[in-house]
Amino acid sequence: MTPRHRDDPRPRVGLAYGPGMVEFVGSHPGWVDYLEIPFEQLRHAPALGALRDTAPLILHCASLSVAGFVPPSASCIAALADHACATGTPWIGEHLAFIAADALADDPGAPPTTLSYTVCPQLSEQTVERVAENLAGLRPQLPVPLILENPPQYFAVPGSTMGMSAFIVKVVERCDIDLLLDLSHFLIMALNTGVDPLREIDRLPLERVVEVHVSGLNRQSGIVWDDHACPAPPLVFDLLERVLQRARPQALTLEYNWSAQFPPAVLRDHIDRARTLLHAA
Amino acid sequence: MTAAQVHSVLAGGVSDPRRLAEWAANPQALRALGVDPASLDLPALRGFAGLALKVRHNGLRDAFMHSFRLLRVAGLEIEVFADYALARADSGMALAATDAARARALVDFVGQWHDPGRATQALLWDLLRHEHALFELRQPAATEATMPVPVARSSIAPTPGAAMRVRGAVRLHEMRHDPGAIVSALGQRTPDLTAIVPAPRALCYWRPPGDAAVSVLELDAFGFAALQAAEGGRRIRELSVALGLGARVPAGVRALLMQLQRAGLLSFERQPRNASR
Repeated sequence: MTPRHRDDPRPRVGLAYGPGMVEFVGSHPGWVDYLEIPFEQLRHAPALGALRDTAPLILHCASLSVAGFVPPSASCIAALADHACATGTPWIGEHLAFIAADALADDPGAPPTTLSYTVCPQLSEQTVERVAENLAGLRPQLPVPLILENPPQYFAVPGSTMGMSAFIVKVVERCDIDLLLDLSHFLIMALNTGVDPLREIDRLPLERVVEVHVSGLNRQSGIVWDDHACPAPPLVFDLLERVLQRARPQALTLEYNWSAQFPPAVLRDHIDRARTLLHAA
Repeated sequence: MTAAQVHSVLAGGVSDPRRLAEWAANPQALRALGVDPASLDLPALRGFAGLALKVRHNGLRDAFMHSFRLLRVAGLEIEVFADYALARADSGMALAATDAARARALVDFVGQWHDPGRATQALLWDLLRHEHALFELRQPAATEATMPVPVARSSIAPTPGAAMRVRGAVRLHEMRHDPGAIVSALGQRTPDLTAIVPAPRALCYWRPPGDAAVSVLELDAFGFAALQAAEGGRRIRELSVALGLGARVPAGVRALLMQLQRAGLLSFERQPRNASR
């Protein structure tokens, strides 16, 4: 592995910020091109912004609820815009999901329910329209483009009228927006809904993919779940190869940010595999 | 079923898993909220609540790396955290702010939750307590708070009226399995949990005063009872009575206590006859 020049135009490979990742960057000069950092952590601990001195930063976000019906606060959006400027992020990746919802109808007067984890929305025309409305309000307030990340789907969402791929196609068409393709989320969705992942991936508008996410997954209690503490299975890299036949992402982020015990040897291997595939495309 | 109604139901169920049980028992309640009960996979939503809670315990993965691996290997990750989410909702308990408090709460929950008759759950209970003992004793502030022995006070001979004191900090656990054997099995590429045979033992996790290292000592029944009594600041005579040996402390008991004293685990202090413990 030889250090790359910062002006090298080839796709970049980065790590999601988490336990052990900064140390890995420090001990592996030239291996990692950027760190992807959650806006929520940056907002909670602004000193993390100093990581910009360690590596370029890409901002990730889980607060905008772009597929939801409860908008984020004005202060949240303003803080996101401030951090986007401060970090110099080229874009903001946000989940095509919701994190807040109105209180249940049988609990009138209660405030909206805000979760700690984004939820796959109803996959319907109604949600597509809502995403369009939300983005129309959000995009002018942000200094860099938003890109949308496909959510993992663990169960059929009531009232859905289409599958995940069709939903993403409609959102991209309706909103003219680029994508953050999380291959592990995509595989989770495929395994949990019974579609062939290698066929289904071709239905996505891959030419709109700007960034790719790779992480692990884990079958428990009969369902495949997202898991950033274990390595991506080979099928995720098969999907990456398939995607790169049509897509030219600018960045690929390895999301192994749940455990400081993630093996550095596996991290090095996955960085190498990702970079090799990206550069060969 | 509008999207907003569905989102409210999903968020309401994840944030308060008690609702999931209510909806399972009374599907009409779900229908009244605008969602067709047949369209909602309640067990999967319960699992999602578990996933969301599990992720909020990522800060413990370092200290509890083997327990998390066991949860995964045994297929218990989602089950444990989904039940934990429900228990937390039942108790109204907010998620603790610190890793130490989250660890304590998780261990307390698993202590209530596990079924000792189910092999993997029994392994989890032993391993979780093992890692928790090491985690707690490696926290300097917590350890210092449990050090009862003033530096200047010297240990006397184990006379019947002497009070027993633990030197440093200890955690005492009666295990059904050897935690080292569980850790060793989990180190295999494909762990065979069925190969871990029960091997009951009494363990003392000990951090001596002024020492950063934690030792794990296997104790016999007497040593375990003596340390438990010492943790409570009891007198040697009381220990002897509790063991059914009478108030006249047998010489053998004193000899065994002197062994623990020589090992540095216990010290003995003279106490006024009516001193409070």
